[in-house]
Amino acid sequence: MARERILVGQDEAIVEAARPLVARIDAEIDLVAVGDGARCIVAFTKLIRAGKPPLLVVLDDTLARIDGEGCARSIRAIERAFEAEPVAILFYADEAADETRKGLLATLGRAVHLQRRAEPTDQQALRLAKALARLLKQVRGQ
Amino acid sequence: MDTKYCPSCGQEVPLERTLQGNYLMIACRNCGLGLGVKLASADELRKLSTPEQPSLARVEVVKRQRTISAAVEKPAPPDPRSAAPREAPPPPAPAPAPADIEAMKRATEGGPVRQMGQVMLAEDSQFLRQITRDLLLSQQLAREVVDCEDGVAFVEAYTRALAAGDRPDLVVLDVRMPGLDGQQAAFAMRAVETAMGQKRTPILFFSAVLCDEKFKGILQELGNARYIRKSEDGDAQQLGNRIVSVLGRLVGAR
Repeated sequence: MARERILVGQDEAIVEAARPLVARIDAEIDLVAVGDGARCIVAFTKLIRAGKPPLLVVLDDTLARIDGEGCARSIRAIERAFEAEPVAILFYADEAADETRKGLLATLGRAVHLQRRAEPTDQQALRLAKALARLLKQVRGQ
Repeated sequence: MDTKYCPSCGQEVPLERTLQGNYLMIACRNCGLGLGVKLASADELRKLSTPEQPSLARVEVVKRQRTISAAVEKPAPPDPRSAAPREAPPPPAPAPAPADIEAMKRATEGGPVRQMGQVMLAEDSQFLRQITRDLLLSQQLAREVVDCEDGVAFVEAYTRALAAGDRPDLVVLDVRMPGLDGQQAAFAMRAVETAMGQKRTPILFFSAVLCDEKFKGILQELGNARYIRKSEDGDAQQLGNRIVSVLGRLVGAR
């Protein structure tokens, strides 16, 4: 079976700390770190074009070049261009979801927001891995 | 003169509208936006501005076998409380006639600009989309113009075009757009090109926002990108002149 991918636009240290945790949830999932918003769009477009969309996309608000919101909006635009189903998006960000963010989530559809607490990287990674486990169950209809 | 939101800078400012021959001239005192819209005839405008329609005159703009409708509000009556005489604004220059356009093309560096096939345009102001489209077609700079109302619609249209093997010759992006601004849309566009192994389409940023050092760095990073500030041009002829000049450099850079 082909390995499935989760694109993660987060700090490299969080991605590396979350990798073994996610492998324990599902050994067939690859966490693909994308350094900034533009790289996220490159990776996403390649996967969509190959007919192998990622299971999830995790975004930070403060990604370089294209921020989290811009990335999410671009992802939806690219999905429509390829007539692909919308991929689940998780915003993992420092700020809590305000009314503007809630409006964005409603516009995007299949998108959730999780506040990243000011805690050590391994704790942030654990929180992310738990959220991914919950979302993967929903995505796979379990 | 009446006070309206300028379609270029978005500020509530006095918009001066004057009729010069067959051209309706619109100018913004804040950013200097100057546009000339060719009318079917001056008489037609007067006929349309009847007492039965005191607030709105509908002007039919006819160019190159196409009809564009532009809603133009009539100027507000002068305020009787303002006793001080106002300085009359300098009359804007008329829009270029076809003969002027040829001279303009010859005068710009790089010689005549070849006509492009398709130009993709992202501009959230419907008015400016229409004017820019009209300019590109009337000056025979493009054979086809694809309109997008914001950055998200542009990324979708551009991706669709690349997937269909129908890459535009030029992309014109407004910098300030809701949802996905011009800068982010441009980075998304470059990302899609990279993912699909395509060449970089020239980008022309067309905005009222100043091109500061940070933005110059962004242009350099994007590659094959130029910038035109709408507000530098006081009238349609100057703006058209600069667009032709910049397009010549952009298209030649490919």
